[in-house]
Amino acid sequence: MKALALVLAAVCAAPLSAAQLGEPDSRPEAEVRALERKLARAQVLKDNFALDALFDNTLIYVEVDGTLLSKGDYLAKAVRPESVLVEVVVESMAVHAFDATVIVDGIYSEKRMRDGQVYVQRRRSMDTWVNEKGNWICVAAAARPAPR
Amino acid sequence: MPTGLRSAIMLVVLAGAGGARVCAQSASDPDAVAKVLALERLWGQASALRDIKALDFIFDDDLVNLDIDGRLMTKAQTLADTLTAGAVQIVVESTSAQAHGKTVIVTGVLRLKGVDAGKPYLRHGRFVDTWMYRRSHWVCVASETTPIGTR
Repeated sequence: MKALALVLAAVCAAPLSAAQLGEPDSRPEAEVRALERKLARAQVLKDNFALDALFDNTLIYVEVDGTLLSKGDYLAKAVRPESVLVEVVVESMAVHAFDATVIVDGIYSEKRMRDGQVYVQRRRSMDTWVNEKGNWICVAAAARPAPR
Repeated sequence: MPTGLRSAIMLVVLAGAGGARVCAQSASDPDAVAKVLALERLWGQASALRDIKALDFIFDDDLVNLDIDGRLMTKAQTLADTLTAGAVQIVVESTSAQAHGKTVIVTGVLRLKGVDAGKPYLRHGRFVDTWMYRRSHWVCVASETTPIGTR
């Protein structure tokens, strides 16, 4: 009986959900988080079919050194054999929803194999997703070196 | 180095309106891109004048600003940085814009020239700004600048 009372007290004391507080629906954030994970997987697997679906045709992609790539440039580069992306580990991801646009600010480390050597580099990224006809699509992605 | 992107005292030298490339995909407002590019120029001028009221109008309250030095700043931090940063000259070399409904993406290249702790510096970066039509006007919701040539 005492335990039950404690459980009830805990439930009653639980913070109100976002919906109860009248805050925006969290679905866009959850959907885009899942798409970011899918994007990382597709990059590692060199899955250009998946990347093509995730990126808008007008994609603006800024590489870590500031080079600007179009979607075509990016997809062509993704399958090049000279530098193999082995792993992407997302360290943090903050999702900011603005109606039909979502900004994702993240820190990740990527492991690459080049000339038989493994390199691990830490990056900070900012991606912009827009909802077009019910689907979220990445229209801009930019990366930069992140401090260790 | 106090070089918050366009959030310092600065002289903005635009590389001419002819340098802007415009691509409207599906804007509900046919003038969206032109309006946003005008606001980009206003941003530079407002920063030069430390016009916090104008910047407050340009930035969304939930602004996400990742500057060329990798500092992630809120709107309040960006405005505060504008008031405290040292003088820097910014030359915007090129801009292009893409509209996606009520969202416009602006990208461009800029050069930052200034003096920090008595030492001159020159930075080169590529920026990506995200603008949205919210509460009856266009506001910048996110800005990111990647240094060019750094790996």
